[in-house]
Amino acid sequence: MKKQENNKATGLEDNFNRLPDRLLVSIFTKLADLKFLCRCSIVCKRFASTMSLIQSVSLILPSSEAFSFESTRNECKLFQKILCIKSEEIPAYIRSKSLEKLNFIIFLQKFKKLESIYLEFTCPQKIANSSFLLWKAKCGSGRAEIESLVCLIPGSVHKMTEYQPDEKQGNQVYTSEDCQFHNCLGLCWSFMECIHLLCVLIKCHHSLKCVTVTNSEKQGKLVLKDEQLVMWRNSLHIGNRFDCELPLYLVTASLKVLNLPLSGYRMKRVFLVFIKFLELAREDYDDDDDDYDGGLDDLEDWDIEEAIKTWDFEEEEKLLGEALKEIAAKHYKQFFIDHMRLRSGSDSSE
Amino acid sequence: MSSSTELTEKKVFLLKSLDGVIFEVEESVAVQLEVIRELIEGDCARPFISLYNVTSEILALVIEYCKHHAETCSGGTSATIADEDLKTFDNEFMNVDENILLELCSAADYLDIKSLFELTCRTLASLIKDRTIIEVRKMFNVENDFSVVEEKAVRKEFAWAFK
Repeated sequence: MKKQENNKATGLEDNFNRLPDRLLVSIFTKLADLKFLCRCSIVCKRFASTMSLIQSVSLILPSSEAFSFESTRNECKLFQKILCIKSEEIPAYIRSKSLEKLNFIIFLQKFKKLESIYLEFTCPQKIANSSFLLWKAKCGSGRAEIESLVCLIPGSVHKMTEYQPDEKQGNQVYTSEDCQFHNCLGLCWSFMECIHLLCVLIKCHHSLKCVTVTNSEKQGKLVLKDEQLVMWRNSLHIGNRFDCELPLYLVTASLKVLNLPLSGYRMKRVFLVFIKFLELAREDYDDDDDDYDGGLDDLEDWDIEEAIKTWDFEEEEKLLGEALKEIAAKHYKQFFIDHMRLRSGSDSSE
Repeated sequence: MSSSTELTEKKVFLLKSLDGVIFEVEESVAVQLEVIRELIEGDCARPFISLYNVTSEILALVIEYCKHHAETCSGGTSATIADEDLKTFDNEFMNVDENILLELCSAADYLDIKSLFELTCRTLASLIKDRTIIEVRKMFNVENDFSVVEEKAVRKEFAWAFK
C-alpha cells in the first residue's frame, strides 16, 4: 500500500505535495496540448520534471498566416535540413538559428517516454469552410513517404430519400472550380508541412508507438503505428518524397451529381483532386534540368480505379471510400488528368 | 447489473475511514470500488473493511458518487437518458473546492474507481488550463522554486506557448 502523509491541509502547504508523481502525470496527460503543458511546466520545478514522464501529447500547429507556396517551400527546406542533423544536436541548431517558432521541438525533447503524438494542422481558411470536405492520404510502402493524397469536396450531401431543395433556392455560396483546386492544393501543402515536422519528431522520439495527423476540422486523418512507424524511422534518410517541388500526377474531376447507393447518400457539385507524388531520383536530378519529368512517362497507363482499390477505408471513411470507387468506376471520362511540377512562386503546369 | 442481489437478501459492507467513521454501503455500491470488487471476487471480502487512506469527508463524497452511478446504471432507464443524467450529476459533483478535488483524485486512485479518477483528472486539468501560471500557483499553494533569472529564461524560450 502506498504510504502517504496524512496531514490536513494547513492552507500554506503545497497541495500537490500529497499527490505522487504518477497522479500528477495523469492530470497533466489530460492537458494534452503541448502549449498548456509547456505553460504548466513553469509553475514549479516538480511540475517541470514530472512533465517528462508524459506518454502522449497533442500538438496544434498554427496555420501559416500568409499562406503561399513559397512559405511551404521554405518550411520544407528547413525541415529537410533539420532531418539531416543528429537528434541530440537539433536543439542547439534551433537555438543558433533563432528559429523561435520551432522551440516547441526543444521542449518536446524533454519527453523521454513519449508514445503517442497527435498532430493537428490548420488548413488555409477557405478550405476549412467547406464543411463536407473529406481527405485521405496513403503512405508509400517500404519507406517514409506519402504516396498520394485525395480531397473530395461536395457542395452538399443529402440522404437520397430526403427532400432536396432546388439548387437555386439553396443558400450555399458557389465556389468556382479554380478556387476549389487551389483550396485542395492549400490543404496538400499544409499537410506536407505537417508531415515534415512529423518526420523530425519520429526521428527524435524513439519511444513513439503511434502518431496521428489530422486537420483542425478533422476531415481526414493519417495514422502511423508500430511497425510502420519503425519503418518510417529507419528510412528517413532515404526518403525524398517530401520535397514540395516534387513532380505531381494530378487528377481532377468535377461532377454535378454523385449517387452513393450503398450508403444511400447523394452528393451534389462534387469536386475531386487526386494527387500522386512522383519519385524523384536524386542522382538524375539537378536543379537546372527543367525537363526531368520524375518518371511521368511510366504513368501514362496509370489507372486510378486500380489505385483506389488498393486503399483501405476505415469505418469513418466509408463515405469517402464509396464516393471514390463510384467516381473511378462510373465517371472516369470526366477526369481531367494532368501532371505538374510545382515551382517557386507559382504553380506551372507542364 | 446483476439481479441476483435482489433475490437474496441485500449484502451490506461496512467501510471504515481513516478517522474512524463507519459507512454502511450495499454491495452494488461497494463493487464500484475496484479494490473491494477484487476482494469480493477473490472471496476475501469481510463485511468490515478499513480504508486507511481516505478521510470520512472524502469517503462520504466517494460513496455518494458510487451510489448515484450504481443506481443510474441499474435504474432501467435507457442508456442515453442514463448517460445524460450521469453527465449532469458529474458536473455538479465536481463543483467543489480544488483541494477536495485533489483528495478525491487520490482517493479514486487508491480505491481504484476508474470513472471517478478520470473525472477528477479531467476537471483538475481544465482548472489548470484556464489559469495563468501565477493563478495556478496561488490556487494550489504551489511555491515557485524557480529563481527570477531561471524563470525569465524559460519564459523566453517558451514564448511560443503564450501566443
